[in-house]
Amino acid sequence: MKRLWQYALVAGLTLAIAGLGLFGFGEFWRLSAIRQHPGWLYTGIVFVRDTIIELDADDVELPEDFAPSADAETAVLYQANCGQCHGGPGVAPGEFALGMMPVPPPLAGVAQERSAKEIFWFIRNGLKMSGMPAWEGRLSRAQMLDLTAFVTALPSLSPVEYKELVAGATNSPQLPRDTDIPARVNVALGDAERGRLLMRLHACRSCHEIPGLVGAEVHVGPDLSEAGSRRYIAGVLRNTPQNMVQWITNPPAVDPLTAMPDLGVTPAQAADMAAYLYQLSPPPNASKRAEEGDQKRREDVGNRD
Amino acid sequence: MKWLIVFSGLVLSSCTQEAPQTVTTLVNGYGCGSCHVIPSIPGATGRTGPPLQDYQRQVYVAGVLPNTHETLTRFIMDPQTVDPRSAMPDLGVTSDEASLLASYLRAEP
Repeated sequence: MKRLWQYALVAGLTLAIAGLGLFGFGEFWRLSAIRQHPGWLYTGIVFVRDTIIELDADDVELPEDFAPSADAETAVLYQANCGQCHGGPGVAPGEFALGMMPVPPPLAGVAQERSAKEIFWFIRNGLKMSGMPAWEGRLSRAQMLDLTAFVTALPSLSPVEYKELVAGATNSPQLPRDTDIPARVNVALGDAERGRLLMRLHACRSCHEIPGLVGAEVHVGPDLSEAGSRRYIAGVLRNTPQNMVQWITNPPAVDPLTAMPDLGVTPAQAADMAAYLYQLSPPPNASKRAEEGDQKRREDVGNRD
Repeated sequence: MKWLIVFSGLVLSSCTQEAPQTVTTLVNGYGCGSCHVIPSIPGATGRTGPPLQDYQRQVYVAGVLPNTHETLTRFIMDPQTVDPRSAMPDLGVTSDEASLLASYLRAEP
């Protein structure tokens, strides 16, 4: 009998210590939405979530003739109800959504990784403690099915097509605003660590893999671990600190066709982000000659319009 | 299921794969490797353009069009019809060659 009590005591203590350890090392006591989970905890949560949803979504019944489709009507429904948080191809989410933790993921990437059944499951049920609401009771089943079809079609839509769809009846694609090249910012003064936090707060990690930020494996935008060392930014501009700031500040102004949206980053913030990217991987030898060549290239680009 | 795919992918990638001779010849002939890292092509280690591993998982071609066999083929053949501002040069790749390269890049591992 005494032995039994000893076992119970040891078991209880072990559980208590494990629980405390999880609470402490898992940083459950940090409730700020600025801080991310530690990487290992994030991986654990994702594993459990995906396993459960894979099982749950098995019971979802889709109509037999279900197929991905993107029509203008559903595009408007999507932009009104989903786009605010998730954005769309070439369209940024609302300002508030970038401050959420976890950040709502871009759905073109989600659609490539998940089945239609899972997508319907998410729309209908939402996801507890993630900010994803359940649309059951708010949207009809037909609407949720339309949205599922639309989301599954998202990876096949170009940013231009998406904007045309949303503009819908008016048939006037919302062309990105043309802003001036931001005033010269001293990129050398950028603070890499602040840049890392700013990238987190502008949800860069939702589309890009970035060392130092925790998140899912994504292939919507390129991996940024070597972005600082690439010769070109977005395959369009020569990689100089000045151009990096210009690109991050307003991508559609650099390339109207790009899928990267304007996220409202100020030039000073972009300088911090650039500093972080260049800390991750050093810039190619940014000589004076390169700057001059670039000026010429920018003129060439202007002439081509 | 997902894990099974990942696992079999790992097993496959741990075997030494070689690119088909036709692909290797094309890649070397057009010098793709001087700008791109290309899987299973020795010497394709360029850092000017993006690395092309796992291309089938990318959502966009050149950051502007959905990643399909057709769009990738078009981009390889004539990058500027896909994005007039692209830094990728038009190398005069024929449509058959481009289609072959696109299939190679987009093949599941």
